[in-house]
Amino acid sequence: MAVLFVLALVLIAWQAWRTEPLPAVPFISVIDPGGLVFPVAVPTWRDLPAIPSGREARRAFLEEHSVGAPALQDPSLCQLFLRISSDHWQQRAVSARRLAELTLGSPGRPGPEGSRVWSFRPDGLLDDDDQDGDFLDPGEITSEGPGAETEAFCAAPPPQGTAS
Amino acid sequence: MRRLTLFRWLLGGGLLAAALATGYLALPLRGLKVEVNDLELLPRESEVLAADQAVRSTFGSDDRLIIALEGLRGGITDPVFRDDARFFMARIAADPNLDRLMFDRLYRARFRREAVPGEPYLLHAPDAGWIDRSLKATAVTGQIAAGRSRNAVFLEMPAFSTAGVESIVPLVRQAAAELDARRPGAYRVRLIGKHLVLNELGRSIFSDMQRLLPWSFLLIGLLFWMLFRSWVLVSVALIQAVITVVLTLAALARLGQPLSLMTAMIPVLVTVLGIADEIHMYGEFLRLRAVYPERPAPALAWEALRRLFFPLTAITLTTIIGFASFLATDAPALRLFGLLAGIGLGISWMISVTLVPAVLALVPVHARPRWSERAWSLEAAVPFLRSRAFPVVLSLLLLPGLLRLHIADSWTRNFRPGHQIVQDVEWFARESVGLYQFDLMLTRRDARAWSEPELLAALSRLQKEIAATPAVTASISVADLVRERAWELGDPAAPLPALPASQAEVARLLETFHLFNEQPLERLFLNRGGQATRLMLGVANDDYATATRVRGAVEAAVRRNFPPGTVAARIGGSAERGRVLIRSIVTNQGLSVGLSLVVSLLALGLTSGRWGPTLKCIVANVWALLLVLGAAGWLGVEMGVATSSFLALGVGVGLDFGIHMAFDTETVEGGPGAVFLRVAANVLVVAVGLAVLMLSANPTVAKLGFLIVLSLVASGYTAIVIFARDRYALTLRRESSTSRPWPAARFPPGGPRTSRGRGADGSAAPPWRG
Repeated sequence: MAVLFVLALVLIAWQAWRTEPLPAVPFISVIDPGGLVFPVAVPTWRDLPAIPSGREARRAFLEEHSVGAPALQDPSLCQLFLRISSDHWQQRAVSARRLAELTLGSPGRPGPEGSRVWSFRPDGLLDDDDQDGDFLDPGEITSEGPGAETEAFCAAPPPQGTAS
Repeated sequence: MRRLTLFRWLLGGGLLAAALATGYLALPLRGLKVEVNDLELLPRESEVLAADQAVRSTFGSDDRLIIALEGLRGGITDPVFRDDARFFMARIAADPNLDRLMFDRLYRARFRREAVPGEPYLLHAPDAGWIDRSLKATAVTGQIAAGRSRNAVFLEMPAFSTAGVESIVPLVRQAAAELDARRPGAYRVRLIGKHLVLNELGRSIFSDMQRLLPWSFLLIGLLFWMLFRSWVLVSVALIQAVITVVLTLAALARLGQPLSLMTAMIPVLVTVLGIADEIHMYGEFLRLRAVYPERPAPALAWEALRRLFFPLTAITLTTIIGFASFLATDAPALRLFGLLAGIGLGISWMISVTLVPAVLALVPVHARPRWSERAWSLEAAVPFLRSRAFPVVLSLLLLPGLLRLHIADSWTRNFRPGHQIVQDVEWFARESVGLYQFDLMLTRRDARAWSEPELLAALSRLQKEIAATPAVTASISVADLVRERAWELGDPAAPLPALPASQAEVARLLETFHLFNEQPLERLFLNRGGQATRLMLGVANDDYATATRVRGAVEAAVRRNFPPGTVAARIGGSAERGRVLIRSIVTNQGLSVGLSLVVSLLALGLTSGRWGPTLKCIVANVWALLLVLGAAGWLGVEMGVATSSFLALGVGVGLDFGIHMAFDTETVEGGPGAVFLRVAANVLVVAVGLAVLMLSANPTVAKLGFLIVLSLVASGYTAIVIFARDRYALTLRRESSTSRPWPAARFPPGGPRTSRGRGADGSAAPPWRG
């Protein structure tokens, strides 16, 4: 009996030593990089954001509040920001030529800090006229409102007859 | 005498060294955590855990804290409610972290086809009419964003961890207080989420232990005083209990394991079960001293140990076997519970066979309880045992209750019905589409994407078929997302459109989730490549029958809608976990009880060589457990993971009584009444000690305490009935019905003899000695 008892204790001690603590289940996110601006969707509790003044500060703010393409690598491309909600923008990299197509060469209207601003009509989101898989079609970004604010930051001046 | 003095000094030194060693070994206790993990009761290798992991890694975690704002005067489309809701959310979002994490499905901005002057963007706050139509037309808003009564909005926060959720609660309460100050009595804020329940459970476990353990010590001390009338003996029992508890918890901490729902019961269990040995040691020592007053205490202590070593070791071993049988299960909580209880009982046994005899031998014990001075007849002690009809009637009454036994478990059963958590969860169950969820993960084997219209239509058909199952209260799939987004972008007055006919149109609609910063809504149902999709199904409750029925319907629908080999289906979710948990309760408990009975039978039979009494021990034990299960059935006590653990305890501890009745070395001095008396005292002390579990604030632990006490009493009773009727039948006839003075038996030369030889007066062994 005593031998059995000791064997049982050894077995228990061995098993106890081998028993790993149960790890906590980690929280997993599967969102694409650059695919989300927090909070999710449009917060109803926030006031309109105060966009900083100064071209670079403004661009940095818009980048931070944008879904879409990651930071621009190619300096020949323009950064286009389309305002989706009071709280966030869509960022995309477009060539100066494509920008000129989208705006039909319209120079836009004066915006803050000497920038140029266009407007995008909401119904433009619902179609894809040129069937290229992108809802932005030539001529859908116009100088006149109303519509969603659209802003471009280009390092080099656009080709003649296009937006600056 | 000088030799004894030397040994007393040695004992004192040993005690001091033991105290210092205990203190040193207890150091890891400083790092002991209290933690409740909802997966600890599920088999580690279960399919549902693998499915949940696959769902998590494919679609992301969807653990959430729900903050429900319930309007007591107005509905969610009332402008005042919306304004107050906005105030409430803004107060919560005053914390920068919460501002980034909160999610409001109901009032979130929506696309409007026409430009809105002064709002140069595409998404705008919806008006009351739009929300109303959205609630009626769409599954996501109608089923998830708001309560059925339309008086409550559900806000969500990702639940990264229990600690993270814990830090959110005070901020939400503060925001609720500010809302109440703004609009007194107009709203009620409720918090719902798994992590909240687990946090609260962790707190209650710790406070329960702090409350119950002192009660346990107090009751044991009181009972030992009543039985033995000696402060020395009471102190030794309490010192043993304290050392056992401290070292057991230190072992838990040393193993890196937290104190959980199951392990939190161990301190009380090992305290009470551990000191059962002392009842027998003290009882036998005092009886021997009464019979042989001229013998020195060391000789009596040694004789008591010699006589009781086998039964004490056997009962501890069978109790350890009872607990260790949980090793055969795959539920981490049960395995750890069994191991730790075994460690605790092993520590206690070591103290019982070393420290206790040493104290009895060396420390003067002056108490002479009256019972130790007398011989006892079994008939005098329990006259009702003479009735042959009583056990039969009792069995006939209780055993049919087995048919009424119900197996169910959930975390909220660990709180009293009036607890705020229970009230909030019950409210949420009424207001939402159901607390329990099935996740059906469907992965294409042919690399086609679920965004293909044909596959989307097949998914929609599958969903419709499953949703027709009576217990299913809600269902959401990527097909819903596509149709509802098409509705949102179209005419709000129009009915929900059909699924798009082209993949390009599906892709365009899904792309808007990215554009609108709502990608998590899409990812919840469709993976990045589009080959895996998830169908979420709400069910009203997670009882085994309902969950099994729904699971069967899901599997059948998948088989009907997709040709074999085209789709891999996995089923997870809280409802499936509940179903697996209940099945594992039955399997695990059945396995552990069966195993511990068989191992106990073999261990006792092989070591004693007496298979007859061994088998009777097992029969008495099984009979007792069946009686208790029958009683539980009649009383409506549901069996859960924790409550059904009484079965293993019932085997481990319940066998003790039979073992004492069957294997205690028969002595001239005691007669059957002496053994019975010790067993009765054992039942009393252990039952009263474990009854403190019934004082627990946790109803599950309280029920477990009740069932343990019931099983101990039943085991004691069945052991007495079986062995008293058998071995002591003749004595029952011969003894008078009253206590009689102890006969003038004395040690014969050469020390006390046992029933293996002849009686103290040189006569043949009495007939009750077998």
